[in-house]
Amino acid sequence: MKFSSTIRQVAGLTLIAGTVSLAACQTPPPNRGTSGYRMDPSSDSPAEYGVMTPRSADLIEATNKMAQDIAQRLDITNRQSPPRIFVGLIENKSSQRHQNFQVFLARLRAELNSSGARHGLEFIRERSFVEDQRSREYGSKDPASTAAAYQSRADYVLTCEVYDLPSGGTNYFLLNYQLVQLRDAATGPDVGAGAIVWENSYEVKFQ
Amino acid sequence: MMVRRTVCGITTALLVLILLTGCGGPPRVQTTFLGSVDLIDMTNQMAQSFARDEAISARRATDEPWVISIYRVVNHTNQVIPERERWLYIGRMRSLLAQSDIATQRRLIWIVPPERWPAIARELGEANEPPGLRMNPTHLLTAEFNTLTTTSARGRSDMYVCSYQLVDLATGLLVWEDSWEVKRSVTGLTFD
Repeated sequence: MKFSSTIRQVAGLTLIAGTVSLAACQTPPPNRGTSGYRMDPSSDSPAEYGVMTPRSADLIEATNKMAQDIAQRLDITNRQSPPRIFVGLIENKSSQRHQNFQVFLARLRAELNSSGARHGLEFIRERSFVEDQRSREYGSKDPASTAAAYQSRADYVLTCEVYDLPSGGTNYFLLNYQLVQLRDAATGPDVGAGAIVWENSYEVKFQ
Repeated sequence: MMVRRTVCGITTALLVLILLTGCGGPPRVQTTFLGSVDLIDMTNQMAQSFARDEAISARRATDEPWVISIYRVVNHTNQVIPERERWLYIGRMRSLLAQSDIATQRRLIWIVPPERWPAIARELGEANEPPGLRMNPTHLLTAEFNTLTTTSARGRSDMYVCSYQLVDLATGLLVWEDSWEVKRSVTGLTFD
Protein backbone atom coordinates (compact mmCIF):
# COMPACT_ATOMS: atom_id res chain seq x y z
CA MET A 1 0.00 0.00 0.00
CA LYS A 2 2.80 2.38 1.07
CA PHE A 3 4.78 1.44 -2.01
CA SER A 4 1.87 2.17 -4.35
CA SER A 5 1.38 5.61 -2.67
CA THR A 6 5.06 6.42 -3.29
CA ILE A 7 4.70 5.47 -6.93
CA ARG A 8 1.67 7.77 -7.22
CA GLN A 9 3.60 10.67 -5.61
CA VAL A 10 6.56 10.11 -7.89
CA ALA A 11 4.33 9.94 -10.98
CA GLY A 12 2.64 13.17 -9.92
CA LEU A 13 5.93 14.96 -9.43
CA THR A 14 7.24 13.75 -12.78
CA LEU A 15 4.07 14.95 -14.51
CA ILE A 16 4.35 18.40 -12.91
CA ALA A 17 8.05 18.70 -13.75
CA GLY A 18 7.42 17.63 -17.34
CA THR A 19 4.58 20.13 -17.74
CA VAL A 20 6.66 22.96 -16.27
CA SER A 21 9.57 22.06 -18.54
CA LEU A 22 7.42 21.91 -21.68
CA ALA A 23 5.59 25.13 -20.79
CA ALA A 24 8.95 26.85 -20.42
CA CYS A 25 9.84 25.75 -23.94
CA GLN A 26 6.64 27.28 -25.31
CA THR A 27 7.57 30.73 -24.01
CA PRO A 28 9.73 32.56 -26.56
CA PRO A 29 12.94 33.96 -25.18
CA PRO A 30 12.64 37.72 -24.60
CA ASN A 31 13.69 40.13 -27.36
CA ARG A 32 14.25 37.40 -29.92
CA GLY A 33 11.19 37.73 -32.13
CA THR A 34 10.18 35.00 -34.54
CA SER A 35 12.35 33.15 -36.97
CA GLY A 36 13.90 34.91 -39.98
CA TYR A 37 11.88 33.63 -42.91
CA ARG A 38 11.73 34.04 -46.66
CA MET A 39 8.83 35.98 -48.06
CA ASP A 40 7.45 37.23 -51.37
CA PRO A 41 9.48 40.35 -52.28
CA SER A 42 6.44 42.00 -53.86
CA SER A 43 4.60 42.08 -50.54
CA ASP A 44 5.31 44.07 -47.36
CA SER A 45 6.90 42.53 -44.29
CA PRO A 46 5.54 43.39 -40.83
CA ALA A 47 8.60 45.63 -40.38
CA GLU A 48 7.50 47.71 -43.38
CA TYR A 49 3.93 48.46 -42.22
CA GLY A 50 3.69 52.20 -41.73
CA VAL A 51 7.30 52.88 -42.78
CA MET A 52 7.56 55.83 -45.19
CA THR A 53 10.47 54.82 -47.38
CA PRO A 54 10.50 52.77 -50.58
CA ARG A 55 10.11 49.04 -49.97
CA SER A 56 10.96 45.92 -51.91
CA ALA A 57 7.69 46.14 -53.87
CA ASP A 58 8.75 49.64 -55.02
CA LEU A 59 12.20 48.33 -55.91
CA ILE A 60 10.71 45.67 -58.15
CA GLU A 61 8.11 47.96 -59.72
CA ALA A 62 10.54 50.84 -60.35
CA THR A 63 13.33 48.74 -61.86
CA ASN A 64 10.96 46.62 -63.97
CA LYS A 65 9.34 49.81 -65.31
CA MET A 66 12.70 51.37 -66.17
CA ALA A 67 14.05 48.21 -67.78
CA GLN A 68 10.94 47.90 -69.92
CA ASP A 69 11.15 51.53 -70.98
CA ILE A 70 14.83 51.38 -71.91
CA ALA A 71 14.27 48.14 -73.84
CA GLN A 72 11.49 49.78 -75.88
CA ARG A 73 13.46 52.90 -76.72
CA LEU A 74 14.98 52.11 -80.10
CA ASP A 75 17.10 55.27 -80.02
CA ILE A 76 18.80 53.90 -76.89
CA THR A 77 18.96 50.15 -77.37
CA ASN A 78 20.76 49.62 -80.63
CA ARG A 79 21.96 46.21 -81.80
CA GLN A 80 24.25 47.73 -84.45
CA SER A 81 25.89 50.18 -82.11
CA PRO A 82 25.03 49.32 -78.50
CA PRO A 83 25.72 52.20 -76.13
CA ARG A 84 28.49 51.39 -73.64
CA ILE A 85 27.21 52.20 -70.19
CA PHE A 86 28.58 52.08 -66.69
CA VAL A 87 26.37 52.24 -63.62
CA GLY A 88 27.17 55.19 -61.38
CA LEU A 89 26.37 55.83 -57.74
CA ILE A 90 22.86 56.67 -56.67
CA GLU A 91 22.43 60.31 -55.62
CA ASN A 92 20.38 60.26 -52.45
CA LYS A 93 18.89 63.74 -52.08
CA SER A 94 16.08 62.61 -49.80
CA SER A 95 15.65 63.37 -46.10
CA GLN A 96 16.50 59.68 -45.42
CA ARG A 97 20.23 60.29 -45.78
CA HIS A 98 21.20 57.06 -44.04
CA GLN A 99 19.21 54.89 -46.47
CA ASN A 100 21.23 52.96 -49.04
CA PHE A 101 19.31 53.04 -52.33
CA GLN A 102 22.12 51.68 -54.57
CA VAL A 103 20.11 48.50 -55.00
CA PHE A 104 17.72 50.52 -57.23
CA LEU A 105 20.51 50.80 -59.82
CA ALA A 106 22.05 47.37 -59.26
CA ARG A 107 18.74 45.60 -59.87
CA LEU A 108 18.04 47.64 -63.01
CA ARG A 109 21.40 46.65 -64.53
CA ALA A 110 20.83 43.01 -63.62
CA GLU A 111 17.34 43.11 -65.15
CA LEU A 112 18.63 44.62 -68.39
CA ASN A 113 21.54 42.20 -68.62
CA SER A 114 19.41 39.12 -68.05
CA SER A 115 16.73 40.13 -70.57
CA GLY A 116 16.57 40.56 -74.35
CA ALA A 117 17.61 44.20 -73.90
CA ARG A 118 21.21 43.11 -73.41
CA HIS A 119 21.63 42.71 -77.18
CA GLY A 120 21.19 46.44 -77.66
CA LEU A 121 23.20 47.62 -74.63
CA GLU A 122 26.70 47.00 -73.32
CA PHE A 123 27.38 47.35 -69.63
CA ILE A 124 30.90 48.04 -68.43
CA ARG A 125 32.11 47.88 -64.83
CA GLU A 126 33.16 51.19 -63.31
CA ARG A 127 36.77 52.23 -63.82
CA SER A 128 37.83 51.87 -60.15
CA PHE A 129 36.68 48.25 -60.02
CA VAL A 130 38.46 47.24 -63.22
CA GLU A 131 41.65 49.06 -62.21
CA ASP A 132 41.63 47.37 -58.79
CA GLN A 133 41.11 43.96 -60.36
CA ARG A 134 43.83 44.43 -62.97
CA SER A 135 46.22 45.52 -60.26
CA ARG A 136 45.24 42.49 -58.15
CA GLU A 137 45.44 39.99 -61.00
CA TYR A 138 48.33 41.29 -63.11
CA GLY A 139 50.33 43.51 -60.81
CA SER A 140 52.97 45.16 -62.98
CA LYS A 141 54.32 42.15 -64.82
CA ASP A 142 52.79 43.15 -68.15
CA PRO A 143 52.80 46.92 -68.85
CA ALA A 144 49.87 46.59 -71.25
CA SER A 145 47.70 44.99 -68.57
CA THR A 146 48.39 47.25 -65.60
CA ALA A 147 45.71 49.28 -63.88
CA ALA A 148 47.18 52.47 -65.33
CA ALA A 149 46.95 51.08 -68.86
CA TYR A 150 43.21 50.59 -68.57
CA GLN A 151 41.06 52.97 -70.61
CA SER A 152 37.36 52.90 -69.85
CA ARG A 153 35.32 52.67 -73.05
CA ALA A 154 32.09 53.77 -71.38
CA ASP A 155 30.25 56.50 -73.28
CA TYR A 156 27.31 56.84 -70.87
CA VAL A 157 26.55 56.66 -67.16
CA LEU A 158 23.28 55.26 -65.82
CA THR A 159 22.40 57.10 -62.64
CA CYS A 160 19.46 57.92 -60.41
CA GLU A 161 18.52 60.82 -58.15
CA VAL A 162 16.30 60.12 -55.15
CA TYR A 163 14.19 62.94 -53.72
CA ASP A 164 11.45 63.03 -51.12
CA LEU A 165 8.93 65.50 -49.76
CA PRO A 166 7.83 64.73 -46.18
CA SER A 167 4.72 66.60 -45.18
CA GLY A 168 2.03 66.17 -42.51
CA GLY A 169 2.59 62.50 -41.78
CA THR A 170 3.04 61.58 -45.45
CA ASN A 171 6.10 61.26 -47.63
CA TYR A 172 6.38 61.50 -51.41
CA PHE A 173 9.37 59.90 -53.15
CA LEU A 174 10.68 60.56 -56.64
CA LEU A 175 13.33 58.36 -58.26
CA ASN A 176 14.71 60.04 -61.35
CA TYR A 177 16.64 57.62 -63.58
CA GLN A 178 18.90 59.11 -66.24
CA LEU A 179 21.32 58.02 -68.93
CA VAL A 180 23.94 60.74 -69.32
CA GLN A 181 26.45 60.98 -72.16
CA LEU A 182 30.05 61.27 -70.97
CA ARG A 183 31.90 62.38 -74.10
CA ASP A 184 31.74 62.29 -77.89
CA ALA A 185 30.23 58.86 -78.09
CA ALA A 186 31.52 56.12 -80.35
CA THR A 187 28.34 54.17 -79.61
CA GLY A 188 24.64 54.86 -79.03
CA PRO A 189 22.78 58.16 -79.56
CA ASP A 190 25.56 60.72 -79.86
CA VAL A 191 23.98 63.99 -78.64
CA GLY A 192 26.94 65.57 -76.83
CA ALA A 193 28.84 65.36 -73.55
CA GLY A 194 26.56 66.00 -70.58
CA ALA A 195 23.36 65.35 -72.53
CA ILE A 196 20.64 63.37 -70.75
CA VAL A 197 19.81 60.97 -73.55
CA TRP A 198 17.14 59.07 -71.59
CA GLU A 199 15.19 59.85 -68.43
CA ASN A 200 12.27 58.29 -66.65
CA SER A 201 10.94 58.39 -63.12
CA TYR A 202 9.13 56.38 -60.49
CA GLU A 203 7.07 58.11 -57.84
CA VAL A 204 5.31 56.83 -54.77
CA LYS A 205 3.58 58.43 -51.79
CA PHE A 206 3.36 56.91 -48.33
CA GLN A 207 0.71 57.92 -45.81
CA MET B 1 12.29 1.40 2.69
CA MET B 2 15.16 0.45 0.42
CA VAL B 3 12.85 0.29 -2.60
CA ARG B 4 11.38 3.70 -1.73
CA ARG B 5 14.84 5.30 -1.59
CA THR B 6 15.78 3.78 -4.92
CA VAL B 7 12.58 5.04 -6.58
CA CYS B 8 13.11 8.54 -5.13
CA GLY B 9 16.71 8.57 -6.37
CA ILE B 10 15.71 7.56 -9.87
CA THR B 11 12.91 10.15 -9.90
CA THR B 12 15.22 12.96 -8.80
CA ALA B 13 17.70 12.03 -11.52
CA LEU B 14 14.89 11.97 -14.09
CA LEU B 15 13.59 15.39 -12.98
CA VAL B 16 17.05 16.95 -13.27
CA LEU B 17 17.45 15.36 -16.71
CA ILE B 18 14.07 16.66 -17.90
CA LEU B 19 14.79 20.19 -16.68
CA LEU B 20 18.27 20.23 -18.19
CA THR B 21 17.32 18.88 -21.59
CA GLY B 22 13.76 20.19 -21.76
CA CYS B 23 14.36 22.99 -24.26
CA GLY B 24 16.85 21.15 -26.45
CA GLY B 25 19.69 23.64 -26.11
CA PRO B 26 20.05 27.40 -26.25
CA PRO B 27 17.52 29.45 -28.28
CA ARG B 28 18.43 30.23 -31.89
CA VAL B 29 19.35 33.82 -32.70
CA GLN B 30 16.87 35.24 -35.22
CA THR B 31 18.29 37.20 -38.11
CA THR B 32 17.66 38.15 -41.72
CA PHE B 33 21.15 36.93 -42.72
CA LEU B 34 21.55 34.79 -45.80
CA GLY B 35 21.93 31.10 -44.93
CA SER B 36 23.05 27.86 -46.51
CA VAL B 37 19.63 27.36 -48.15
CA ASP B 38 20.08 30.72 -49.90
CA LEU B 39 23.68 29.92 -50.85
CA ILE B 40 22.72 26.64 -52.47
CA ASP B 41 19.63 28.00 -54.20
CA MET B 42 21.44 31.07 -55.56
CA THR B 43 24.62 29.34 -56.77
CA ASN B 44 22.64 26.51 -58.40
CA GLN B 45 20.53 29.02 -60.31
CA MET B 46 23.48 31.21 -61.27
CA ALA B 47 25.51 28.23 -62.51
CA GLN B 48 22.57 27.16 -64.69
CA SER B 49 22.14 30.69 -66.01
CA PHE B 50 25.87 30.95 -66.78
CA ALA B 51 25.87 27.65 -68.67
CA ARG B 52 22.76 28.60 -70.67
CA ASP B 53 23.95 32.11 -71.55
CA GLU B 54 24.06 32.89 -75.28
CA ALA B 55 27.55 34.42 -75.26
CA ILE B 56 28.98 31.41 -73.44
CA SER B 57 26.95 28.82 -75.37
CA ALA B 58 28.20 30.32 -78.63
CA ARG B 59 31.79 29.42 -77.77
CA ARG B 60 33.37 26.33 -79.31
CA ALA B 61 36.02 23.94 -78.04
CA THR B 62 38.41 25.31 -80.67
CA ASP B 63 38.09 28.98 -79.62
CA GLU B 64 40.82 30.91 -77.83
CA PRO B 65 40.49 29.99 -74.17
CA TRP B 66 38.89 32.29 -71.63
CA VAL B 67 41.02 32.13 -68.50
CA ILE B 68 38.71 32.86 -65.58
CA SER B 69 39.74 33.92 -62.09
CA ILE B 70 37.33 34.64 -59.26
CA TYR B 71 36.91 37.50 -56.80
CA ARG B 72 34.95 37.47 -53.56
CA VAL B 73 31.49 39.02 -53.27
CA VAL B 74 31.50 42.81 -53.07
CA ASN B 75 29.21 43.38 -50.12
CA HIS B 76 26.99 46.47 -50.31
CA THR B 77 24.41 45.08 -47.90
CA ASN B 78 23.75 46.24 -44.37
CA GLN B 79 24.88 42.87 -43.02
CA VAL B 80 28.40 41.85 -42.14
CA ILE B 81 29.49 38.98 -44.40
CA PRO B 82 32.87 37.58 -43.29
CA GLU B 83 35.52 37.45 -46.00
CA ARG B 84 35.63 33.64 -46.00
CA GLU B 85 31.89 33.55 -46.74
CA ARG B 86 32.28 36.12 -49.51
CA TRP B 87 34.64 33.67 -51.26
CA LEU B 88 32.22 30.83 -50.59
CA TYR B 89 29.42 32.41 -52.64
CA ILE B 90 31.68 32.46 -55.72
CA GLY B 91 33.61 29.28 -54.95
CA ARG B 92 30.52 27.10 -54.87
CA MET B 93 29.36 28.40 -58.24
CA ARG B 94 32.76 27.75 -59.83
CA SER B 95 32.81 24.30 -58.28
CA LEU B 96 29.40 23.49 -59.78
CA LEU B 97 30.53 24.64 -63.23
CA ALA B 98 33.81 22.75 -62.94
CA GLN B 99 31.88 19.55 -62.27
CA SER B 100 30.18 19.87 -65.67
CA ASP B 101 31.62 19.63 -69.19
CA ILE B 102 31.26 23.36 -69.80
CA ALA B 103 35.00 24.06 -69.45
CA THR B 104 35.88 21.61 -72.23
CA GLN B 105 32.95 22.43 -74.48
CA ARG B 106 33.28 26.20 -74.20
CA ARG B 107 37.05 26.38 -73.81
CA LEU B 108 37.10 27.86 -70.31
CA ILE B 109 40.06 27.55 -67.94
CA TRP B 110 39.46 28.18 -64.25
CA ILE B 111 42.49 29.45 -62.36
CA VAL B 112 43.13 30.00 -58.68
CA PRO B 113 42.80 33.62 -57.56
CA PRO B 114 46.02 35.51 -56.80
CA GLU B 115 45.27 35.37 -53.06
CA ARG B 116 45.85 31.60 -53.13
CA TRP B 117 48.86 31.62 -55.43
CA PRO B 118 51.57 32.26 -52.79
CA ALA B 119 50.58 29.09 -50.94
CA ILE B 120 50.91 27.10 -54.15
CA ALA B 121 54.08 28.82 -55.36
CA ARG B 122 55.78 28.13 -52.02
CA GLU B 123 56.36 24.59 -53.24
CA LEU B 124 58.47 25.93 -56.11
CA GLY B 125 60.69 27.86 -53.76
CA GLU B 126 60.56 31.63 -54.02
CA ALA B 127 63.88 31.86 -55.85
CA ASN B 128 62.82 29.30 -58.44
CA GLU B 129 59.45 30.78 -59.38
CA PRO B 130 59.76 32.40 -62.79
CA PRO B 131 58.19 35.88 -62.75
CA GLY B 132 54.62 35.84 -63.99
CA LEU B 133 54.31 32.07 -63.84
CA ARG B 134 50.63 32.11 -62.95
CA MET B 135 48.47 32.45 -66.07
CA ASN B 136 46.98 35.86 -66.78
CA PRO B 137 43.21 35.68 -66.50
CA THR B 138 41.16 37.17 -69.30
CA HIS B 139 37.95 37.23 -67.28
CA LEU B 140 36.77 37.51 -63.70
CA LEU B 141 33.77 35.83 -62.07
CA THR B 142 32.46 37.94 -59.23
CA ALA B 143 29.28 39.11 -57.52
CA GLU B 144 27.77 42.15 -55.87
CA PHE B 145 25.24 41.88 -53.05
CA ASN B 146 22.88 44.79 -52.39
CA THR B 147 19.97 45.10 -49.99
CA LEU B 148 17.00 47.27 -49.28
CA THR B 149 16.71 47.19 -45.50
CA THR B 150 13.75 48.26 -43.41
CA THR B 151 13.83 48.32 -39.63
CA SER B 152 10.99 49.37 -37.38
CA ALA B 153 9.50 48.59 -33.99
CA ARG B 154 7.80 45.60 -35.63
CA GLY B 155 11.03 43.99 -36.83
CA ARG B 156 13.35 44.02 -39.77
CA SER B 157 13.33 42.95 -43.39
CA ASP B 158 16.09 42.73 -45.97
CA MET B 159 15.47 42.40 -49.70
CA TYR B 160 18.67 41.02 -51.20
CA VAL B 161 19.64 41.45 -54.85
CA CYS B 162 22.66 39.22 -55.47
CA SER B 163 24.08 39.95 -58.88
CA TYR B 164 26.70 37.63 -60.41
CA GLN B 165 28.92 38.82 -63.25
CA LEU B 166 31.57 37.65 -65.66
CA VAL B 167 33.79 40.66 -66.40
CA ASP B 168 36.18 40.96 -69.35
CA LEU B 169 39.36 42.31 -67.72
CA ALA B 170 40.63 43.91 -70.94
CA THR B 171 37.54 46.03 -71.56
CA GLY B 172 35.54 45.98 -68.32
CA LEU B 173 32.56 44.62 -70.29
CA LEU B 174 29.98 42.57 -68.42
CA VAL B 175 29.96 39.48 -70.62
CA TRP B 176 27.32 37.81 -68.45
CA GLU B 177 25.20 39.02 -65.57
CA ASP B 178 22.24 37.55 -63.75
CA SER B 179 20.77 38.06 -60.33
CA TRP B 180 19.07 36.12 -57.58
CA GLU B 181 16.71 37.75 -55.11
CA VAL B 182 15.28 36.92 -51.74
CA LYS B 183 13.43 38.83 -49.06
CA ARG B 184 13.98 37.82 -45.46
CA SER B 185 12.01 39.10 -42.53
CA VAL B 186 11.98 38.85 -38.76
CA THR B 187 9.34 40.16 -36.41
CA GLY B 188 9.78 41.37 -32.87
CA LEU B 189 12.91 42.87 -31.46
CA THR B 190 16.12 41.54 -32.93
CA PHE B 191 19.79 41.72 -32.16
CA ASP B 192 20.96 41.88 -35.80
